Amino acid sequence: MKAAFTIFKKDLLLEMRGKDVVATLTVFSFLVLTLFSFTAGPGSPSPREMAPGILWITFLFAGMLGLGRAFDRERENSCFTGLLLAPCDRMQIYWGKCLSTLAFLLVFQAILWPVFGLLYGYSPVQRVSMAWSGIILGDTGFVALGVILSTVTINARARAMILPLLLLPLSLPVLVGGVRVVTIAVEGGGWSQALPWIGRLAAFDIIFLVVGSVLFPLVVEE
Amino acid sequence: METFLKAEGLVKRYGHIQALRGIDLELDQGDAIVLLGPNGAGKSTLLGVLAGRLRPTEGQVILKGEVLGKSITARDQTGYLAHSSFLYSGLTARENLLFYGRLYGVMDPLERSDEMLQFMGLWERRNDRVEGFSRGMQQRLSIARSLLHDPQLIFMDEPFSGLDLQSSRAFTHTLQQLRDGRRTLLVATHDMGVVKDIGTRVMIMDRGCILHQGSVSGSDPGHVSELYMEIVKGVRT
Repeated sequence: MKAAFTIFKKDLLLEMRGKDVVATLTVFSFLVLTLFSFTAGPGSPSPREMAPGILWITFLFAGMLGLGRAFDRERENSCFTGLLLAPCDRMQIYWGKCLSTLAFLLVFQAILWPVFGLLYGYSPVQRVSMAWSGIILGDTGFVALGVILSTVTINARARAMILPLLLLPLSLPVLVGGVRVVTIAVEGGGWSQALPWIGRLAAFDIIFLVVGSVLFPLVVEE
Repeated sequence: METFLKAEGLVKRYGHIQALRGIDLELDQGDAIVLLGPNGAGKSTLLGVLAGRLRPTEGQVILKGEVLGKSITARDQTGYLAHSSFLYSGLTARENLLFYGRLYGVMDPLERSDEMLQFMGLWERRNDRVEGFSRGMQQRLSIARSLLHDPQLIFMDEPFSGLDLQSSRAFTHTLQQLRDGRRTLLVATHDMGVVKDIGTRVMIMDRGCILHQGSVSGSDPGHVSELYMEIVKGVRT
């Protein structure tokens, strides 16, 4: 795992310098959540009822934006090829990119979480461990899928269009599980209600990570 | 001399375009081969395949008995300088080398990075971000990156591009220093002068085939140019 951590640390250093990924995601998500909070109309469900869904849709779109930015750095000067030439198991490159992307997502989500509570009238500390179990597991599955698909599309001309087309439908299990866990948490439900969804999210994570780890060395072959 | 690298029947196709057409070659330890050829001859593709960056459509590359591409240890023994620098523009020169040093498992990456920065004349700019570097400086840093793990087999694709006269001379000197009998060099270039300066052998390729190879030690660059023009013209007419 040494190479994976080396890549992770390099990505963190680049992000600390530029702060472009986390800043972009935070601003984008803040705007989306704020806009949605004003959309209540007569006869329509209140934004509060839809809040967990809005939150996760925001996470997914911001996550895609983050993946794009994270891989832009690897495209520049063909740095990704530089990684592939390294004498390490190529699976480690996948793990390194997953770790750093996950870290970026979690940082911006931690910033956004209190904003979400404030805008939609939920206590950000209520069942926080339950909600974050769902978020962390959901993010892991999303990142596992996102990194492999970003790699597949890294040199595609219409990458900005192809990536969402592939990633969003495949992220559906993550979206459903994540929304359910956050809904149960913010409405004060018990662990017994959340655990089946948390279990499903964990199962998806394992599947996506295993598939991603196996596929990555194959898809990077030119 | 020991055969260091062997390529057997290398074919590389990109859709209907055949970039390499059944190339066989052997590189001995200590060889310094200059690969010449017009644009589109397949030089970069050949270097990419030999360095393990590209997978051949057919054939295989064997480095010290191990098939390249599948072997991690084989990648450890090769250094590759491509058209692109593989450098992160948001990192400093030293951070780039440290990163690659760690990735390549260099024993003391900090000491080695500093050594390479001094060797390439970039010590004064070690803490500057690469985004502020000129093309020539980036090329020098990229050369340092490719030599960081002390590879025994070094592939260089147009290493003189972007270098000014002074840097070019310094780099020629560096290449001469690398010819220590232990390392094997394969340099793709358009510069005929390189043949005399660093080459022990010359290879001329066009249209995905090696058309000529032979010893050139002490050859006059003018003679190599004539030979090159004759061979390439012969194929193209």
